[in-house]
Amino acid sequence: MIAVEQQDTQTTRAFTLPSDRIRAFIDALMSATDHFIAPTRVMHEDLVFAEVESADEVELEYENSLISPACFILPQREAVFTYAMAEGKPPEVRAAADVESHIIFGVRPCDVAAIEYLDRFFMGGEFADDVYARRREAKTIVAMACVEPQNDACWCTCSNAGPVAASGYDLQLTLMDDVYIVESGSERGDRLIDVAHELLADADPELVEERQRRVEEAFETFERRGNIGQAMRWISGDQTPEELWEELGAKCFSCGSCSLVCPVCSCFDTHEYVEDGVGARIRCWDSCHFPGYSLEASGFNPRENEAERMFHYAHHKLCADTFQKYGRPGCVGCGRCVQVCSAQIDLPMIAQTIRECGWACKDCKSCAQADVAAAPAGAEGTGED
Amino acid sequence: MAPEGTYVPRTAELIESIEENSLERTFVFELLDGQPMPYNPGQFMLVTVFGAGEAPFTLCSMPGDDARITMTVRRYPGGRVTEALHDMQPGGHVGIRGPFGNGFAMEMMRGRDVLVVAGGIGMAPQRGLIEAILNDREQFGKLTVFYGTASPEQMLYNDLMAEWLERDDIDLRMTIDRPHPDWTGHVGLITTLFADVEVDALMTSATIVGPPVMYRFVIMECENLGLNPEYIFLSLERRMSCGVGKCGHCAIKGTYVCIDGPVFSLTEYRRLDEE
Repeated sequence: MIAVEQQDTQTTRAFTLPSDRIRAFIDALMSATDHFIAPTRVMHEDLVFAEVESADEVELEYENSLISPACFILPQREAVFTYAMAEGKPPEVRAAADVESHIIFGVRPCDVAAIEYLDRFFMGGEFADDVYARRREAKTIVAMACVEPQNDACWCTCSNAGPVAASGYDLQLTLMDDVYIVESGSERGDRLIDVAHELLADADPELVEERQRRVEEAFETFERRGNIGQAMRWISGDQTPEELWEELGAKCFSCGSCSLVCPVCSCFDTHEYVEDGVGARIRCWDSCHFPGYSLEASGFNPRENEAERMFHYAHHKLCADTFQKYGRPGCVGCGRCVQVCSAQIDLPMIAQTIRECGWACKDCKSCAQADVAAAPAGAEGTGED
Repeated sequence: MAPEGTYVPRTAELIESIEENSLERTFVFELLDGQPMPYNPGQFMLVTVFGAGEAPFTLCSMPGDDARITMTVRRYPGGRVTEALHDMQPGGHVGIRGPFGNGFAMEMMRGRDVLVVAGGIGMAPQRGLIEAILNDREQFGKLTVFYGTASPEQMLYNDLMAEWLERDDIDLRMTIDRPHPDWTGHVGLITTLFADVEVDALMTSATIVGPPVMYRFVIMECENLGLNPEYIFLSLERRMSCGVGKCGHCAIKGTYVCIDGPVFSLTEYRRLDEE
């Protein structure tokens, strides 16, 4: 089990950057890394995270990308080791190649939370994944906080992931009218601050407080709600009716889109690829919604129908076990599943449906009063339910 | 220096490929680095056939002090790794990662009677367990082994079975599903062996490995005998791509068969609620 620091206010140093100097700031960051990944417009004005060569290519007003920048840490396809085949001799096995340094610029807080989750999953626990760790170690995360939802699918406010990142970034930028607040969250961030110090000034603490005020006001504008806390309670207590999963399973096309765009989903499959006598063990994204996900060579499949797979998917995202091990639900509220599911079985919908299956809070507020009366000094009400 | 990494296998040479029957062969591998590989009965390895892929197989013997390991593998048509293994000639090379998983909890059997229930190739992972008990015989009580296959040809390790039948410190009872001209022994599903067994319910641990369909019925028989669910152990099989709790395939409600299993007590198995 991993010790998780719950939302410790990390020691942050805050600076301001005039918004008209942002491209000079990006130039400074680019000088400090081998590769610079940033949001950029491609064909049909689609927004993607990709390597850019100049600050002009960086898009600064952007909606959430369909594919999370976490894909630079857990790519859709990568070799975990390679081997040279030789007739009559044992193959010469080589570990995965080293990775050059990358700055990922403009990562939204939901994706920052997803990367934090993946770090705990891949690098914590009994076994650490050295292929992941090597890639992760080479990445510096420059987050771009949201003050309002990027689109109507966003629901990070319900999954404790945004709209401003509390941790997990090296630098975080928040646009406040004509200045960016620039916060460092790590030693790596501090070094980047040093690189760009000529462009920065110390931030007035009132400006950071003003951001908090704006964020709280913006909560109302996040219209999509799903109450993950309640859903977590029902699914962890094994108190969801089978009919619910049968109903959702019957609607699902098992296309796997939700898990392929989900920045938290990390299941992978492995394949062998051999060309010109050089082989590679390739790992690539997989989805627990695919019928072949758990199919064995013998023909045995423990999760043959979509109802069982739907339960498995939702359980992993929402169960208390995930919360306990990785410090957050298996959803960061990025809303990508909302955008891609053609059957409209997205995670906010699943969470809401689970909640409706159980007894519901009558919202009488008497517990809130009781909690306040009983709470030790300094404790805050959860505001959930 | 050999490369290291979570997914990088050690290279081994196929020393011997023994035909058990038309479906199964037993493979003896020797690790090229010469280092012995300690493991517990019931643990498994991930075997790479270079160019074909990687799949999990349970070790089927006691660990020795040499760098050799033994596995019995059934060939499945269309199974890339099992087909490539069956076609491999001695001298061929494979990659080995492991051992993975918990294996059988020997401390839950020591000082107690042990009932081993093996269906088909389920004998392979339990052979190591039986050997471990026989090697340390006075530490355990009565050892009863139920072994059932569809037909006599599918019996594994015929010489070893003959040897066990001769011994008086192991009570081996074999059965085949349907009558066969070459078979003079017991006929009937493995559950029929339970009709004629006397156990000290409070003092008996049971281990069950076999095809998934067998589990429900054998569990019922074990419970009818009055065995404690904490002392009934089952080994689950799942598809796996990593062995270290990362690929997700073997997960059941937050439990990973590869690291938390593959052996579970009946109590844990019921909580997982999946065959």
